[in-house]
Parts: sequence; C-alpha cells; structure tokens
Amino acid sequence: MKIQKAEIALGIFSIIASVWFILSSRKFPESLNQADVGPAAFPTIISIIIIIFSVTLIISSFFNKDSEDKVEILRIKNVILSILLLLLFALGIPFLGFYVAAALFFPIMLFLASVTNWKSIVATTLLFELLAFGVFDQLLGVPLP
Amino acid sequence: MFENLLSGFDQVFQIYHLIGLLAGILIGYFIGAMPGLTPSIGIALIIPFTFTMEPVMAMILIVSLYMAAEYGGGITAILLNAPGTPAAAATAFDGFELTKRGEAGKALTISIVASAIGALISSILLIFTAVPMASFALEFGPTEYFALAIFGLSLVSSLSQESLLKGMLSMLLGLLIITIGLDPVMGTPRFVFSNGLFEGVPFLPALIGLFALSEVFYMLENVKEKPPKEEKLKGIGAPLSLFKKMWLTLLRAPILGYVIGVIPGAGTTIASLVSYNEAKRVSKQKETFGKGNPEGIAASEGANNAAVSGAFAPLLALGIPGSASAAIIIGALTIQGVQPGPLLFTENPEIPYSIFAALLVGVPIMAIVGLSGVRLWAKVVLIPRSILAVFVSGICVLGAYSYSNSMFPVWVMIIFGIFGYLLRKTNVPTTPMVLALVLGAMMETNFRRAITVSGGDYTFFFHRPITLVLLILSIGTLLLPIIQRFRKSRA
Amino acid sequence: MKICKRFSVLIIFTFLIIFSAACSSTSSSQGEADYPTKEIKLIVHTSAGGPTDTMARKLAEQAEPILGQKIVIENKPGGSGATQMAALKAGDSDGYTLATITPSHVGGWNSNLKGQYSPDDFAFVSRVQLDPYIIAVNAESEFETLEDLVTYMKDHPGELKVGGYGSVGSGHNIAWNIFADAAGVDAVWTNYESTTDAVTALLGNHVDIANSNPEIVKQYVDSGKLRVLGVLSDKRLESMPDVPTYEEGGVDVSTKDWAQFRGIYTNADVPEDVLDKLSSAFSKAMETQEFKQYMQDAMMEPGDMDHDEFTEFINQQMKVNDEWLTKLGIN
Repeated sequence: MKIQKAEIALGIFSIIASVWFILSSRKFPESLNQADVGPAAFPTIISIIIIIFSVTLIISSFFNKDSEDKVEILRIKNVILSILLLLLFALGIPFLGFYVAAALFFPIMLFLASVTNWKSIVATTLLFELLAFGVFDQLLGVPLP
Repeated sequence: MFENLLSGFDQVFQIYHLIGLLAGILIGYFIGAMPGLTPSIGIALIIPFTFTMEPVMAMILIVSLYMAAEYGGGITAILLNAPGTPAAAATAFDGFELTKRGEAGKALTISIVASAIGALISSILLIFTAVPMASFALEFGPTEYFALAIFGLSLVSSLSQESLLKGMLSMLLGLLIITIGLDPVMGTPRFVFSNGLFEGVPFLPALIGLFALSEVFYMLENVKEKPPKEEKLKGIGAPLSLFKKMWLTLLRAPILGYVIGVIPGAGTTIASLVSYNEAKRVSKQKETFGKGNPEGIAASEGANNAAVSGAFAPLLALGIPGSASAAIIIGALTIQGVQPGPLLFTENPEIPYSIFAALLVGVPIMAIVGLSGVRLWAKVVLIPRSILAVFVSGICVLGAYSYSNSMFPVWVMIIFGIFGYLLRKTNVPTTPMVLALVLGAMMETNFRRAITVSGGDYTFFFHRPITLVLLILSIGTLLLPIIQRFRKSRA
Repeated sequence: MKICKRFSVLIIFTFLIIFSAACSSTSSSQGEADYPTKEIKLIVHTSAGGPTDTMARKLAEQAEPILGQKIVIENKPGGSGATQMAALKAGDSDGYTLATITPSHVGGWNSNLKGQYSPDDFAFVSRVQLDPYIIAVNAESEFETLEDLVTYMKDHPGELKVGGYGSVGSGHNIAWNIFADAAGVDAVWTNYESTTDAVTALLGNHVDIANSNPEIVKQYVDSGKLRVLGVLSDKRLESMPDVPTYEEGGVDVSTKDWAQFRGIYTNADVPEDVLDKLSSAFSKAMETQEFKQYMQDAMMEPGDMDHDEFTEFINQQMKVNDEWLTKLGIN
C-alpha cells in the first residue's frame, strides 16, 4: 500500500472520531460557574483542530503523489493472527486463570513467530510462568487470576 | 546543618540500614525495569512492610527504592523500546536506536553513568536549596501550571522527526483521548462508553501499548532477522572520552531535572522530555538525535533521576508532595507518626538528614549495581527476535494487569498497541501522543481553574511573571525547529 | 500406556481440588455460631499509606486479639472504590470479607455507580471515626474569625475562591455547600486533586479559603502559616481548642447533616449474629489505649456506631447526597 492511502485513511479516521466527540459533547451540561468554559469546550476545540489538520493531511497527500514511500507489513498473516491470539489470551485469562491461559498462548504464539524447536517453546513458556509466579505473584503480591 | 548531616551519615552507615539501602536499590532496580510497575506502585507495594520498622529505616528503604526505580526504567526502554517508567520514554528515543545498531551495552552504560551523576548533583542541590526551592514550588498556581503544560506540549515540534503535521495530529489525538473520563471540574462523565473509563484512560497501560506492544508487532514482522553480533564491552562499557564530550549535557540535565522535579505535579516525565529537548536544541548535530545519539540518553536519564531529589524539596520543607510517589511517602511517614511539614526539620531532623545521607550513599551503590548489570542485560539482545517478541508481549499483559489488578488496563494496553503500530506504520510518531497523555489533563484542569479563579478574565494569564516567561518559551520552542527546517530547505 | 497414566494422575488431581474446595466451603457455612474460625480479609479502597488505610490497619491490629483471628489488609485502589466493591462482591457473605467505606462510596452509589451497586447490596458493620471538615485561611488573610469571613462574603458574593478536594458534588464540595447554604453566602469552588493540593494552593495564596481536614493543616497552623476559622463538629476538637464549631461561629450546621466518616462494611446477607459480633469487637478495639492514641495523633474524632445506627446513618447520607447532587445539577 502506498503511504498516501494510509495517510488518507488516518485523516478520515481522525475526522470521524472528532465528529463523534463533538456530537457527544453537545449533550454535556452547561457550566455552573459563569466563568468556567464547561466540560464541552476543550473536547470541541481539540476536535475542530484535529479536523483542520486531518483535512490538511489528506490534501497534502494528494499533492505528494510521487512519494515512493510505502506502507508494508511483512508476514502480514502472522501479525494479524498474533493480534487475534493476543486478544484471545486476554479474553481467556478471566475464565482459565492467568497461568493456564499463558500456557496455551505461549506455545501457539511462539509457533506463529516461527520457533519450531519444541525445547525452546517449553523453556520460554516455563520461564514466563515462573516470572509471573515468582516475581509478580509472590514478590510483589499481585493477585493473578 | 553539617552536624545534622553527619549524624544522618552515622545513621545510614549502621549495618542494618546499609542492608536496607541495598535491598531498596535492588528492589527498585527490578520494579523500574518491569514495564507497568512505576516507582509509585513499587513504593505502595513496599509500604506495608515498613510499618513495623522504625521511621529512619523505612525512609532509607523507600528513598533508595524510589531512586533506583527511576533508573531501572531506562533498562527496558533501551533494550526493548518498552519504558519501564513513563519518565524513561525519552531514554528510548536514542537508546533503542543504539540497541538496534548492536550497541546496547554502550547505551546501558551511558544511562547508568548519567543517572548516577544526576542523582549525585541533585542530592547536593537538595541539601543546600530544599527550603528556598520549596517556596518556589508555592509560586505555582493554576496559570503557572497551565503555562507549564503548554510549554511541555510545545516540545511536539522537536519530537516529531519527519512531519510536523503528523506529530501535531498525534498530539491532538492524545489530547482528545485524555478528555475521556469524569470532567475534572463538574464531575460529569465525558465520552465514558465503558465503566472502566470513569477514571479516564489509564496512562501507563496506554504507554506500554504505544511503545512496547507496537514494537512486538515490528519484531514479529522481522523474526527472521539475525540478532546483532555480541558487542565487545571494554572497561565500564563506554569510553571515557565519550563522557568528556558530553560533559555539558551531563551537568545540565540534573539541574533542569531538579528544578522541574521541585514543581509539584510536573514530575519526572516532563523533566526528562524538557532536558532531552534542551540537549537537542544546543547540539551541533541535531539530526542525530532520535537516531542513536548517546547524548539523548544522558539528557533523559540524568534529568529523571534528578527529579527524584527535586520532588523531595517541597516534601521535606513543607510537607507538599512533588510527585505521586512523594505523596505515598508522606502517607508512609504519617503512619510512622512523623508529620511532614514546615516543622519537620526542627521536630524530626533525623528524617530529612538521613534521607539526604541515603541519597548520597545510595548513588555509588546504585552505580555499582547498575554497571555490573550492564553485561548481563546486554545479552537480552542476543535472544532470537521471535522468542523475545512473544516474551515481551506476555510481560506487557502482566504489567498492564498489575497496574490495577484487573483486566481493564490489559484491554487498554492491547488497543493502544494495535493503534500505535498502525500509527507508526503511517510514519506518525507516537511520542507526541504520550506527551499529550501526560500533560492534557494538567492543561485543561488548570486552564479552567485559572479562569474560574480570575472570574472569566483571560488577560489574567499575562499578569503573572512565571506564566508569561513559560508561555514565551513555549512559542519559541514550538517555532524554532520549524524556522530551522524552513531555512535548511531554502539553503 | 504412558499417556493413560498421566491422564489418571490428572483426574485424581482434579478430584482432589474439587474435594478440598467442597470441604472448605462447608466449613465456612457451618461456622456461624463460633465465628470467626479463620482469617478475615479487610479490603481497603485506597493505596497503602492514606488515612483510610491507616485506620484499617490500626483497627485490625486492635481487633485481632478480640476476635482471636488474623485480619489481613488488602489494598484495592481504583475507580473511587469500584475496584474494592467488585472485590468485596467476589468475596463471601459469612463475615470473612470486610471492606472500608467512606463518603466516596455514598457519592458513587448516587452517581456513576448507580445501577451497578447500591446500599442494598451491602451490610454496614461499624462506623469508626469522623475526620472533621474545617475551614482554613492563610495567616496573612484579614479574616480572623468565622464571623469576619461570613460578613465579608455577604457583602461580596461570589468573590472569594474556595479550594477543596474533588469536583462539584464531592464530599468536600457538599460540605462547603452546606456551610455556604446555612450561612447564606456564595463563593467560587475551585477543585483540586487532593486536600493536600488545595492546602498547597492556600499556602501559595492561589485560593482564599481551603475546605480541609485537621491533620493536613496542623503543621501549617503550628508554624503560623495558616489559620483555622471553624470546624464542622458537634464539639470543639481537642487538638484545636481555640477553633469554634460552625454552630458556635453562627452557622447552623452539625455532623448530623454531613460528615467525613470512615467505617467498615461487608456484603449483604451476612448473618445477624456475625454482624453483632463484628460490631462489638470493633467497638472494643476502638476503646483500647493504642487506638485512642492513634486517633489523637491523627486528629480524628471518635465516631463509633454499631451496625443498626450505621445503616441508618448511611441511608440518611445517601439522601442528603442525592439532594445535593440534584441541587447542584449533577444528577
């Protein structure tokens, strides 16, 4: 993908987000104190500036067509799968408990990252579990689920 | 005063106090290095253990932990682009670039040397200037804080490497994100689409996501890349000539850090960013900053350790906390039956003077611990990318979880990780966003506080000298890099 | 064969876990009569070191020998108490999971936690202490007494700035509003992130008045930097005998109206006799010399209430809080 497309996407995303913020802040109550600008002022002003900057970004990337920069994601399938896996890991923690979830997540994630040596997979997983238990749970008293 | 200081040293040199000092430094060192565990979380975790100790021992333990944690944050910032503490974010700019070049050991050595010098100089400053500096802290009212936030935000122009437009956009998005949560003045919820967001977007998990997790995705892209060759470290890890070349930065960073640390609420993060910017501004090779210039590390680390001593000035002289960590320390003192405040120096002189002594004695111990760790930490880089990436992603989850012992910050961390990754892919710098997350609330709250206090009079901001100076500095800081870039493109 | 063996070990292991879990649950439900039979957990909604945390630790220390069991403190800060409430809800209703309660809980149930939690979900064990609200000014200020201040404010409505912890609707803000309402005056509320921040602003003359608590201003009063004009209490404080109560200063407000309290609560459905036992144990703990010494050092007022009185008190505070939130335009 060319960088211009990514820039335009970012611009559009920022504009949509700003519009949502402006619309939501219209429901905020008026300030009780006459002098105070109220809860809606800052989000609205920032959103308007974001829209201005986003439009500038979109326009400038139209003019900057000959730039050779590209947005490339290598091994895109693996990266996306890893992100999904990370989300599944986080989803799994409350149900399976931290240690079980990590024991499932690590080997698959390592395999995705093309570690095929099972010894290093087991060693890494164990090391992480040990760190979680030893340092966080025992030493620092973080109650892991 | 010197008599008191000597008795402070006497206290610290008692064997069990020395053991406490060493323990504090070691614990702080690891807590700092763990992304997600800040110095303030570390202090809060250790406080229950100090209840049964006598006050001096408790303070020695806490002070040494605080100082070492502020240093420890730089380690993971350099090695993994995962700042262990928010203040180490500026350390990552050049530190991680050096690591990518295979010079992690050198970067780590610079960071410990700069931290030690920062801690030493600032501790000496603290001993002599605690009382006058504390009254300087009182000068900071709403308009001054607003101007300080604006000054901090104006650093955006030197922190956005390639495109100012993208840097500004990143900062503005950060400012918008920070408005989520309860309104600071009215208490009405704003943009709270999930219950966890009442308190706002938790900063630290967001930081871990933007820096560390997005780096994990980069690593996953390039798992095939061979780790750099093992670096041959001679002596302490970096040649002395290197330090000689940047002596001015090594000296300037602690002073800047100390002064900014004194201002309650400004904190170590602003200190290191301002110091970084200052080092870059006066440097003859501005373009090398952010691309692995050792001076960047020295500027950031020297300042954030100095800010620790700075935070002690208002705490000891007036009982006013200069940082979140200092606020917890006040709590610890109160439990001990010692009330920090203007009478502390006369009623309990052993407390401030043993803190001074602990800071001074702690510096060489911290330096030794740090330097002996360099070779070990530098080996982290030799771990294959694939394993490192997965391991760091696990630590990110663990760190975010321990932020408030719940899953919510973990989700925040992951979302910011993906968002940060996409931004970086589009060449949008994420540092301005971090800047906005640190300063956004300070800017809005104090603007509204100031305008309420002044009764709606906007010229109020120009009647106060510190405010005016800060605002003028902000305009300069914002425009200078733009003018320089413009000149260069014409030349 | 190997797999089979491992599998059977796993099954036995699982059974063991279930069995032991079942055992522990039966033991806790039958222990009503001879409560407490095991360690009690007390969940604090602030970080270690704050005034609420200190109260919990001192109270636990004194109550342990009376109850004959260990009381373990656990800090669950975040969400103005919401994190703690979730942790309490996840605990048992047999009196082995207790938690600390302050006005921020009441405020939360009336505003942002509405629908999630309500007082009906909980049982209120004991009120422990009152941390009186006070009105302080800078020592350089022209106001020597509460009357001076009220007279000036009546002549200059909306001129003075009051600094205090929290946004409009917070405990401190309501305390100020009740005072201002009763005195018939009007000032500008300036919110700060903590009471210490507000007092700092007063020291630097960035606000005219601070709504605070005694412990925080004590050092500044002693060193002649600040002056306390009045205290929201039923009688003068031992630590500040020269400072009149609001009532003595001519403003008709008492602690029945609004007070910063700290207490202990637990899950609803706790057996009545367990509540009684806990209530009286804490009451005894509050009578010990050590606890009284702590209360004096920390400049807190005794506020002991058993669970009946405390429940009534909470309901009344809920009402006052709700009225004010409506009046201030929050709800």
